[in-house]
Amino acid sequence: MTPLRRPRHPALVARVLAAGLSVTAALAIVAAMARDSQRRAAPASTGRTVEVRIGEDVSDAEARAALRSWLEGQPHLDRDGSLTVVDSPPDTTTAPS
Amino acid sequence: MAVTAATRPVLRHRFDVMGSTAEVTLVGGAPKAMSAAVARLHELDRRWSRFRPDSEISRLNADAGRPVPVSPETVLLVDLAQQGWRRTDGRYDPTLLAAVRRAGYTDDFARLRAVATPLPDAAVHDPRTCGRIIIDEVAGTIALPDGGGFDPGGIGKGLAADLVSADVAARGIPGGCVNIGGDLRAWGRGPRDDRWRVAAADRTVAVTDAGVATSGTERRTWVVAGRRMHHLIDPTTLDPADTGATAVTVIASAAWQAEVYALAALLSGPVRACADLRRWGVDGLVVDDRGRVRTSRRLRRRP
Repeated sequence: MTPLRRPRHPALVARVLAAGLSVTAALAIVAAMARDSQRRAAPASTGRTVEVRIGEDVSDAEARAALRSWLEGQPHLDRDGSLTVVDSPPDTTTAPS
Repeated sequence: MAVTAATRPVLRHRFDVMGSTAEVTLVGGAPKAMSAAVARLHELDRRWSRFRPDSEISRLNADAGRPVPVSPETVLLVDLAQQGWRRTDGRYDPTLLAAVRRAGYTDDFARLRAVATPLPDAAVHDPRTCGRIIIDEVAGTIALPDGGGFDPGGIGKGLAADLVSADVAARGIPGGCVNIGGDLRAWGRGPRDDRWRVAAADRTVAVTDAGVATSGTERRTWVVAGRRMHHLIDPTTLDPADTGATAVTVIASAAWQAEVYALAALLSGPVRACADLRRWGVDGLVVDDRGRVRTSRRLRRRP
């Protein structure tokens, strides 16, 4: 299982920052996915799984592909327990403001 | 001792951005991460607002017919909007800007006032416009069709919530929720446990790692010549939608998707909306103009 850690190469961080949002967001997504897979026994089945390793250098193209894959994955939440109606108070609201 | 969600500090900040009230909640977050999230949302607003003459969207609309250099974020925004148009067979259409303006939504909503002037003559819109947007990701340019106009509307808020969530997660924050006027992205740990509880219509929905958005006709209204208007334009009539559905909430894997499908389902009307949501593969709630709530199977209350 991929350990979750911040990017360890200063050069990568600099390049990520220089490359702008897409790469930064993609690395974040990869981090979130790794965290998700650590928390769950099985990877999420929403079509988001992307083979990029945290803490290792990734090309801009790989990172952009990761971002795209995450954003364009299947919309359906089909993980067990990912969506339920509950009787407890909300943390936030989707009412338009 | 294990650190539980209950013992993690929760940072919450509300502020105005993108013409809405945003709320960013970070579980186990640091003030620096919150500052970065707020700054990022304001930056995206500067790029995407159609009410700022120097925004990238304003430049796109002003130079329709020619390739316009834009940031990677804007390439992504327009590309996903075009995908949304395709996935919903054109029911979601981000190129209805002329009809939105014709309905009177010509300024930031906070500055919008009732006007007595009747609507001008019927707007004209080519339903193929969105498919004719030329996106060159390598060159970083977008060309709208000549005479076309792009309205980032709700998808801009949804995508901003997705991207800022990703940015914050990159800082190692274990959970959070970026909510921009009801379009939200929640990930990781919630304030109480591993779920985020979201108030939607008449119930509370618990989600993990999801985007949620609501399209509704009851907010963002104004009056033109005595007629109540709202900002959700029906591409078949080019007028504010009047389908009998007053609000649709969708839960999807990303907020931009939820926004696209919520608006498209609202345009379906209350009778067809749930079937369309099922066909598109998302869950949701539909409120009609008599206050009745229809839902997809997983959002039904347990007896």
